[in-house]
Amino acid sequence: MRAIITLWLVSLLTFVMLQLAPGSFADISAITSGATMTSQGQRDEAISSIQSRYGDDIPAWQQYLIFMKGAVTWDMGPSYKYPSRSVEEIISGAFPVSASLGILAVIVALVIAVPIGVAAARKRNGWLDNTLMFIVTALHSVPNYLMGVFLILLLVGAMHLLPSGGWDGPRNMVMPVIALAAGPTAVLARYVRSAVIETLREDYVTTAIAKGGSPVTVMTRHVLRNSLIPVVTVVGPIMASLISGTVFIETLFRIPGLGTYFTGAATSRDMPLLMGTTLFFAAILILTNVLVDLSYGFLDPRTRIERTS
Amino acid sequence: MTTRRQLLQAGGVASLAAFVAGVTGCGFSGNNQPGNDGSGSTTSLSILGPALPTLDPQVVSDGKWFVNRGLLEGLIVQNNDGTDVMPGMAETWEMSEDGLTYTFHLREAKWSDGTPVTAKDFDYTYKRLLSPSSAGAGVTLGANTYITSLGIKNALKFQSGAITDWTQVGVKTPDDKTVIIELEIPNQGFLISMTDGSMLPLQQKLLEEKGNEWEKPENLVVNGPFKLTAMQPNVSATLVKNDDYWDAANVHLDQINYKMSQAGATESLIPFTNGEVDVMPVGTAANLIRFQNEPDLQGQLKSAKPGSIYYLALMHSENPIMSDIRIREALSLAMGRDTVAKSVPLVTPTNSLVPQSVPGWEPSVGIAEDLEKAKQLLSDAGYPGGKGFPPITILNGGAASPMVQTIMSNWTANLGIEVKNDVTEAGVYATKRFGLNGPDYFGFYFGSFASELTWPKWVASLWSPTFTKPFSLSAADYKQYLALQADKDLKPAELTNKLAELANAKCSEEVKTFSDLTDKAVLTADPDEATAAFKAAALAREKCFIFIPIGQGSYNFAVNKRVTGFHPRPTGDQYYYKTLGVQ
Repeated sequence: MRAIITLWLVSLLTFVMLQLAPGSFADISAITSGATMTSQGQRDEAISSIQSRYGDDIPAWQQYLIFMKGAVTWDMGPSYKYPSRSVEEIISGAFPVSASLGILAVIVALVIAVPIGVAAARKRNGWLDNTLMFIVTALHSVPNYLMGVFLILLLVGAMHLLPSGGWDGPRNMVMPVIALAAGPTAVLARYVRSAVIETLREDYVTTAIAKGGSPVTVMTRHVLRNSLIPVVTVVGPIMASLISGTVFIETLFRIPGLGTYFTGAATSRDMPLLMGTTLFFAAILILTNVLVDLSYGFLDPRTRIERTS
Repeated sequence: MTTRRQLLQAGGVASLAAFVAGVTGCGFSGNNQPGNDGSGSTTSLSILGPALPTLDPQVVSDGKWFVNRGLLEGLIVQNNDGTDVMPGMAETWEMSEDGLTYTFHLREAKWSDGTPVTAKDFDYTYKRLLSPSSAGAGVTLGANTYITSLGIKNALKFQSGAITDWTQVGVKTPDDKTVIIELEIPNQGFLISMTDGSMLPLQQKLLEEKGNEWEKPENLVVNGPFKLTAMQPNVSATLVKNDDYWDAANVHLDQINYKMSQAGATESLIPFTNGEVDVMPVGTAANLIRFQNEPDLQGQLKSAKPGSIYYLALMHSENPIMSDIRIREALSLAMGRDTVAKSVPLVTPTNSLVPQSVPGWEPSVGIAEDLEKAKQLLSDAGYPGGKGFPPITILNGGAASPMVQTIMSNWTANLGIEVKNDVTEAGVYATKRFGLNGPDYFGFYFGSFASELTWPKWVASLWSPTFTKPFSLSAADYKQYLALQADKDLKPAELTNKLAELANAKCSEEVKTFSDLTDKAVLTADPDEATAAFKAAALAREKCFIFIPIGQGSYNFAVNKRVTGFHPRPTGDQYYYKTLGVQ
């Protein structure tokens, strides 16, 4: 129920802000297309005909209701900017692209971050820890688009190893995934490190070591498992932000993901597409948070007991 | 009972499986043949260009130019350098003696579904173009404004709703193979304007049967040299040779891999230098300079004839300062165009709003710079040495331009005035450009425009009298003008009339002179006399100092040496795919 209210508020806020934003789809198209220049005083007809796509002279509140009805029934009609494609078609075509990149990036980040975090925690304050944390901090400071440009210059411009962009096969995923994974790797590595340090201090770890458990077993069975909760908490939002599309990376690598549509819709004031993508993002974010909450129960039996008691 | 561990394991396996399925099904197009396919069996090129949100030629977008390049063919097409027309769907045509009627005789040509191209398709498409609300997607997004430079009888009246009977419009199709177009007045730019994308035919059956989805690759039916076989929105499109095309024997490529650069992406030459694309547009100063300096790139930059004009246009403001024409003239005379143009490679300075490649152009249609006179004018207007002149603004959308930066410093150095540059987001730009700005915000917006090189186009159609008049209105009159525009109760035809009435009555004397001279030029039948009349009108427009020319530029392309038949032209479609080949 709370999720539905949140979504409704998101839709209302988006719609109102779009109405308040300067310029309309018609104005902007008239300028970018040059139609203002070629017209001989009939700019207004050109404009009214554009708006008529969503019902001629329909008041804003009715447009909102029409859209919301479409959103609920998954029939949001054509986008202004992409007249031959419906909003739901755009979302269902672009989301798998963004999602696959986002999930891969998170997997790559986890695969790299966990060993780094563990290694750093074990040698806490040693040279290895310091070096790793230095690298991680540096990685964290580089925005993903800058990382993307760097990768293109290195792997494409200098070494000619990969295509600079496009979406033709798995090769096209290499650079975007690295660029997207860099930041999360840094964040996760730090989280793993501090969680592992915390857990290492626990009595049950000392007991496990005292009982003669091998360092690997102790680390994987006792330490890592129990360090996962804080990590999962951050993985959720990272995943949500990555799978919903990342405009800079998509634009840079010419990827048909959702982020491009979202920002394109905002800048061109494409009401149906902007509303549709915003609501979809909000739903993804809510869903991820719910999944993270649920996963606590599986990861830590105590959470379940606390909740049921 | 299922344990937590089992659940976790099962969940892990399931999500991994789902992910693998997702990745394999995430819409890779798999058409990534590099331009140099080496197999020898097919000849193909890879071309980088802008994204194509729609392919409707009646929507002014990059799609309109794209389809004109190689998917659809109009009655006539342009020759290689864009100076004349050649047969397209029309095999022959003739003009009546009074210059008012053109009769086009269609050749035996087929759509890509095998059905014949008929005059009915043209009639249907032109009607669609001129009936904004009835167009396929319910929209024409301004392509119908291109019709104004044609002067087709009653076309504008039909478009504005003043007449609703299509038979009164000067488009007639007496039989399946004849298209007759009647004009209101003789128009020496008519034929070249007919090559614009907005005049392309669409198959009536396709649009009626497929509705909004007619332009999807699986549905699209074309009559041009190439057909569309795949489209990945915002990323790529695949074109293959259309064997049903009437002149297929002269089409040299089997396939074109069109790769799209997304809006807002920074232009990079890497796809070109990495061998991924054979042709790409080059626009930024930084990249143009590379073609002059880097040995590897030399000889690979091709430019069309200069056909675009960079200009400043007056903004509406409550501040009356700019309505003093002496100030506007001073700003134009002291712009320092030489250095402004030099700030961007391949741009040359110009004092005229008509490109110098338009046949018959001469320097006397522009107004030469004169710094001393500019200073005097500013002083006469009450601001000697720029003293007391409030900061003036140059508005531009998108990225900051080196040209604007140079104008700013030149004005400050030459006239002693302070200049601000306002680089804004598209929506804000639109409101500031169309709206009446507050007293603190006045000046010019920066823009550029490219079009076919004819006098009627550049004088009577672009920065036309109708377009120019509202710019010379006082703040109070313009407020009234905006109020009329916002009045939803007015029917389109009524609105157009009322706006025209107001603009005619209240525009400045200089603009009236320009308007009268243009009307006269348009009505002149003799080509030489018409050119002379257009020149006089063009000069009169310069004297309004409402639109101030800065420089002229051209479309520039990086073209791999193996590409043959690349003929860039100044119009928006830039070049045709038909002539392209591989060495």
